This record gives sequence, structure tokens and C-alpha cells, in this order.
Amino acid sequence: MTPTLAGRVQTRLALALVPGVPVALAAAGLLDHLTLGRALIGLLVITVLGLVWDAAYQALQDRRWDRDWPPLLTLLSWVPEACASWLALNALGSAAPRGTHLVFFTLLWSAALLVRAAVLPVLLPHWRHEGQRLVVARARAAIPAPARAPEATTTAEEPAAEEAPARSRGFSLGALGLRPGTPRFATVALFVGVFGAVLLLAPLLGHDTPPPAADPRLTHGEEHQAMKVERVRRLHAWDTTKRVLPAYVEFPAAGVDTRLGMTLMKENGVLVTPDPRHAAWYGQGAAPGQRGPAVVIGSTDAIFQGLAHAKAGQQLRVVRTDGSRVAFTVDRVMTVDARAFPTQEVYGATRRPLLRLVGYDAESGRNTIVFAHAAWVTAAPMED
Amino acid sequence: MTTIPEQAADAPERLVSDEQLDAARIPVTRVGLATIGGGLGSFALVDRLRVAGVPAEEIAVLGAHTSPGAAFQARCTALGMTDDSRLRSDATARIDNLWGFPGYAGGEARRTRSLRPLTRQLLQGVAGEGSSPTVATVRAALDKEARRIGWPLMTSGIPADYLFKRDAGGYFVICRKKGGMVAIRCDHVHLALGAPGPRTTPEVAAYREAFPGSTRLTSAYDDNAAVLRQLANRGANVVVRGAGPAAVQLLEQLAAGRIRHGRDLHIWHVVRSWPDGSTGHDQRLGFRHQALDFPRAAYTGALRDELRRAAEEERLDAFERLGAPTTPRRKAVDELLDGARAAGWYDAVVGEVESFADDGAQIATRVLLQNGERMTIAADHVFDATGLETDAGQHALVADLLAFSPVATNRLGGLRTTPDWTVEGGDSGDGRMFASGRTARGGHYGPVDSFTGLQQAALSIADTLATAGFGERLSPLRSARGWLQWIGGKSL
Repeated sequence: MTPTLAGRVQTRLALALVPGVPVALAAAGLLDHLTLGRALIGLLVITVLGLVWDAAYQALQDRRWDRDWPPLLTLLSWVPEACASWLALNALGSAAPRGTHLVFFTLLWSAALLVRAAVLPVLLPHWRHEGQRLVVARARAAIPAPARAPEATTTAEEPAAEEAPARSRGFSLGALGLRPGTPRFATVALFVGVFGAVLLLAPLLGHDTPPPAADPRLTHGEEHQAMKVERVRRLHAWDTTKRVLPAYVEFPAAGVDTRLGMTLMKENGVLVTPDPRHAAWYGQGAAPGQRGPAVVIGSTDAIFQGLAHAKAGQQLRVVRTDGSRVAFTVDRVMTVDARAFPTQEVYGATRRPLLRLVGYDAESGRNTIVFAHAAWVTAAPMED
Repeated sequence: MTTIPEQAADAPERLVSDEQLDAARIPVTRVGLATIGGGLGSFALVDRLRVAGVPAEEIAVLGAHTSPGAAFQARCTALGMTDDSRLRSDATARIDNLWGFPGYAGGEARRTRSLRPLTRQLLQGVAGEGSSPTVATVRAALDKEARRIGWPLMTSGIPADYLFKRDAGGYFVICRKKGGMVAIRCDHVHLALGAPGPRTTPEVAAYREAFPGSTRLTSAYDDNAAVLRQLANRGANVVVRGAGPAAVQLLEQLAAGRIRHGRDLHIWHVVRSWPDGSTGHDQRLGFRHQALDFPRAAYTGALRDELRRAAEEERLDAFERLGAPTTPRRKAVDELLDGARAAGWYDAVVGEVESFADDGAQIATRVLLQNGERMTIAADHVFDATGLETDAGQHALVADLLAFSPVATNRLGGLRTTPDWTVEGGDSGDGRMFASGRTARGGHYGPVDSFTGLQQAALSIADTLATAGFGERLSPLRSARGWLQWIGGKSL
């Protein structure tokens, strides 16, 4: 049933209150990253923006050939409203994560759709007939005296009749007449508009992945900016399924700069370095820069002596045999007894490229473990 | 009681008193509301009132049929529509369901175990032909609802002959029963008489007068089954006049007959104007396409508000322009006419019919073509599909009212009404006279005789009645209760 602007606005405001507020409260309880405050602000922003959308929809509807609003367009309204509300909330700084917001919006939107389809017609039978208005002004119009002879009035109406041909083109009595030849144009324009909006908004939405920008060392310094862009580009082209063997590991903060050998696990399940002067990479696990945890071991008496000074946030690099470098950022450092070795934490499968430096002290049986994640990769050696 | 038809128009209004009826020994029955017509218009109002709790004894339905869908079904049958033919209607416009939910599409999807009706409804207005109910669906649902609200208790199958205003307020409706007369005294009265019959254009009237015995010219709403069979059996030249759905229905039947019998049946299709794109309609093969009688915005949208507010002349002009013949677009019809045109047995003639003449063997149709030339088509039969009569004054009861009360008709032939469907000049004391459907054509609303239009009228009239103290307003709670009773099939 064709809506009117007043009907759209009234219905939207009412639906924001009745299924809107309870659904927002329920969503805040159900969704992890959605606080109550954010949900209510989100509902407010979605509703206010929705009023703007309503005006736009109505303007578009008035330009369609029969000034109707087909059901499919009601369904398609999800796209502009969901995207716009997320961008607006993002600009206000109170956006939930994108996925959470979309789920939240979809919940509100479907609840409103359901109420409009099944509840409002039942509770208010006149709602659908009055262009979706909730409040209907019932004024009995002034009754002109019954004219027995219509011929008498036609002469007086002559000037009005002259403008009739101009109006005869569209289905409108007002100014928003329809030009001939545009019956399908408005529908096509809407589709182009909606999908254009999606195409334009998609890159904006994609760029919210914050890791490169949030990295504190990459945000300060002029010279880092150009490098940052380059690194981000390479990070995006990083193939984490490729297995490239490591050659060196450099950890300036711990004074480590060593060639890497390869070691395999022994029969009894013990991992040792073949040469105490160099560190060794566990060759049965992931390679550094490949998805999964890459494990490098070394003796804390010799090569990994400085490992105790390592701190979260420090950076280390692995040079691989193809000349590329993978930079890692230290997440945390822990010292454990060898008997309580956190096997799952160190070797546990993951989709991210990780690195673990394990320093062992054969005498005390203490292990120092550095957990790090890959930050970026360069394809060829860079002058740092 | 006795009235002289030649009474002068400026004479005081005719009022009838209880004593006059008493003196004429006419028994009087007392009800709150009488609705005259007994078709879908009456049904929509009675349904709304019964849902809000008006007892059946308070309502009298006066019409020639005991079933509300009888006249509707008769029109469909006359047009050659079968039970599976689709109506030109919207799936959410349910005459048997005040709320429009659930619509016809959902029921059809459940019955046919197919999502097609729902996808058709979803894509309505964008692609495809939209979802519309079949004749059988509407009739079955209507009969069920009529039984539920106790329609047989309110109707007796007797049409009303006269409507008089009572001198002390209210009305008398006079019917004939078993040779005698009975009167129904009611506080309010509702007129929904429908179309008096097929429209008779001046050319047709002149032909009927000149050749009273001829059967070569029939209306699309006459029973044409035998004629169609005969034409298809023998092969013939046939003229079809009109560009609305009735004409399309005839063209389809003629084409089906031609294919079945393999005789040369040549169709001359006479239309007044060839669409030139100036109206904004989708158009093809001489037809302007539109899903419903009026653009959708005239049913519930902004166009409805504009029409309601417009001045009378402007409004009537708009109704004439918007209500011009259109047909819903159907792929099957397009393909049929395309093929027929290519095969050479279907020709469209654009012009005004000037006259019909019978030369004993054939009927000659003289057409003034658009280019000013005249053309005469000699044919074996002419089908006139120019639609239904629009002048409400053709009903004897309305003609009587027009002559003896201040009630008047507008240029389009309907009674002059206010935006709340009250007939102007029809008030009698506190009593109100309402009109809906075709009887209110040219009022403040465009699509008056659609399912939606009838329901809009019913909702508005019932609210006015509630203000006047008859029945209750449909509050959200009462409405929800009514809907639950409807969905549960509870008898009222």
C-alpha cells in the first residue's frame, strides 16, 4: 500500500519507540560489543537518519510514474540505511564494530518490517488506507451547495480548465508532474543510486581495519608515513600460506642477531639446538611469516642471553631465504619451568603468522618464552 | 404516500410520516441501518459493523440476491472469466478481510505449495505481473465471511423500491413482498447499488432503436457464450470496441475459439485513441498498461490526498483522465496479439464509432478515423466493451430520490457526496445517508468500486456512524479481537 510522507514519518517514529526500544535493549544484552548506551544512541541515530531517508524516498516516489512504492524497494532500503547509519555513528565516534552494528541494525529493521506487515494492519485498520498515517485528521469538509445545473459553473471555471493540458501528463495534481518517457527511469535511477552507494561505501568500510594505523611505532615520525603506506600495501599482498625458510633472526633490543639453523624433534620429545652458538628454527612447525606459530629455540646461556630483557611492544625481524623480511611485534614474555611448559600456547594452531622465541637454560630448567605476532613484511631488503 | 412524479423541483421536500404508512396499512420494521444494494459495497460496511459488535438485528440488507458475491460472480461469468481467471486486484485488497492481513498471496502459496505468489507480490511494480487473486479464491473467502457474520440473518433477497425521508428523522425503505408492501424504518441508510448495467453509448442506443430485433450487437457484459461459439464455428468478421480489460477478455476468447475450430475469424479492434506516451503509462499494441483501475497512489498514496482536497471540477477532470481505460500487462496477451497481428487476422482501427447499421446479413460499423477519413467495417457481430453504465440515476430508486429530495448527481453520474461518504442533501434529522461504490462515483475518492475503495468507505462510514451513536469505533483492542475471531473462524 502506497505510503505518504506524513505516514512514513509517523510510522517510523512510532516504530522506533515500540519495537525499537525493546529490540535495542535485547540486542545490547545479546551482542558482545554493543553496550546499552551505544544501542540507544544507535537507535536514535538510525531513526533521525531514517527521517531523512524517508524524505528522499518520498521525493523519489513522487517521481515514479504512478507515484507508488513497490515492496521490493522497501526491502532494498536496508542497504542505504544500514550503511549510512554506520558511517554516521562512526563519525560521531560511538560506533560498535561493523559486524555488530549490521546485526543490530538488521534486528531493528526486521522487527519494524514485521510490525508493519502484520501488527499495524491488525491494530489500526485505517493505517494502510491512509498512506500509513497513524493519526488521521477527520474533518468534515465544507459542503458546497448542491449544484443542480453543472453547466452554470463551467463558465466560471474556464481559466482553470486551460491549465488542464499541462497537468494531463502525469498522475499529479501538484507541481511534481511526471514527464513522458520516464516511467522506468526513476526505478533504474534508484537501483543505480543504491548500488553506487554500496560501491562507494565499501572501500570506506574496508579501511576500518586498524592494525597498521594503531601500531604506535608507525604513527609517529614523518619518514615513517611513506613507509607505512608501502608496508600496508605489502601486508595486504602478503601470502601467509607460502612457506619460506628463515635465514637470520634480528632482535636488537635483546642483542640477538644470529643465523638460524633447523632442528627437528627428537624421539623423546625434546627439542634442542644442534649448535649452542646459534639459534635454531623448529622445522616441523610453521615457517616465520607463514600462518601458524613458528618456533625458534636457543640457549639463554649463549645466544639468547638477552632474552630476559625483552618487553612487549619491541620489534624483531626474521630475514628469510628469499631475501624478504618479516617484522614481528612482541606480545608478551614469560618465564616458566620446563615441566610446566605451555605447549598449547606455544605450538597451538592459529591462522595468524606468529613467532615464539624459546630460550632454555639446561641447568635451571627455566624456559623464557617470547610471544610475537607478524606486523608487516617486505619483499626485498630495505635500508632501515 | 402517493407521490406525483411531475412534482416541481422547487416544491418542499417530500417527507413521509408514520401516520401515512399506518393509513396505507404498510407494516413497519425497525432497524438501525439499512443498506441498499446487497452486493460487495453493502458487504464491506456490514462486515466492518459486525466486527465492531453491532448485532445482526440492527442491520437490514436490501438487494436482489441473498449472497453478497452473486452480482460480482454474474459479471465475471458474463465476461467469460472462469474460476481460475485472475481478477484485476491486489493481493492485499481482501474484501472478506477488513485488515488485509494475511493477504490472498499467502493463502495461495500455502495451497499451491509454491513461493511463486509471494515472489510475484514482492516484485510487484518492479517486474512481472504482480500477484492477484482468482475469481474462485475471492468468492470462496467472501462466502465464508458472509456465513461468519450472519449475512443470511440480515438479508431476505428483496430489492428496495423506494427510499423516503421520515418527517421525524430517519428513513423509510419500501420493498414489495408477496404482492404487498413492507416498510423498514431505519435511522441511517447506505446506498451501494453498483452499476445499473452495461453502458449504452448514443450510437448503440440509436442502433437498438433502429433495429430492435437485431442480435448482432451485444455488450461484453451480456451472456456471449453462445455467440462466441457460433462465430468460432463458422468463421466470421468481428468488431470489438473498447480498450479495457473486458475487451481483452473478449479478444482472448475469440482467439481461443479461432485456434480450437480453425476457422477464419477476423477481429477488427476499434479503439478511440492510440496511446502516444503522453500519460506516462507503459503501453503496447494500443493498450495502456496499469496494474489497477487507477494509479496506485490514488488508492492510499499522495494522489488520494490531493484528489480529496481538490475542487470539484478539477477532481472530476482528474477522475476522467486517471480512470481512462487501461489494462494490466500480461505476457500471454501480448504474445497472442503479436502473433495474431503477424498472421493477419487481427487489425486495430483507431477512431470514434459514428454509427452502426444492419443491412440484414451483416452489421456495418462506421468509424471516423483519427486522420479525418471514414471507414466502414462490415462484420457479422459487434461486441461493445465500453464498460458499465456510470449514471446512478438509472436506478429507479435513485431517480426517485433525485426527483423528490435535494440529492443531486455530479457530472460523472454518481451521487454528490462529502469526503466522509455522506450524500449531500440526504440528511434526515439526525439520520445520515451514505453512498459508496459506483453510486459514489465522482465523489472525493478515485477508485470507489475497488475492494480497497469499498473498504475505505466502510471504515469511514462506520466511524461516522459511531460518532452518531450507532455501533462502536474500531479501537486497537477491538480491532485485534475482531482479527483473532476472523483468523479463528469464530461466528459472530
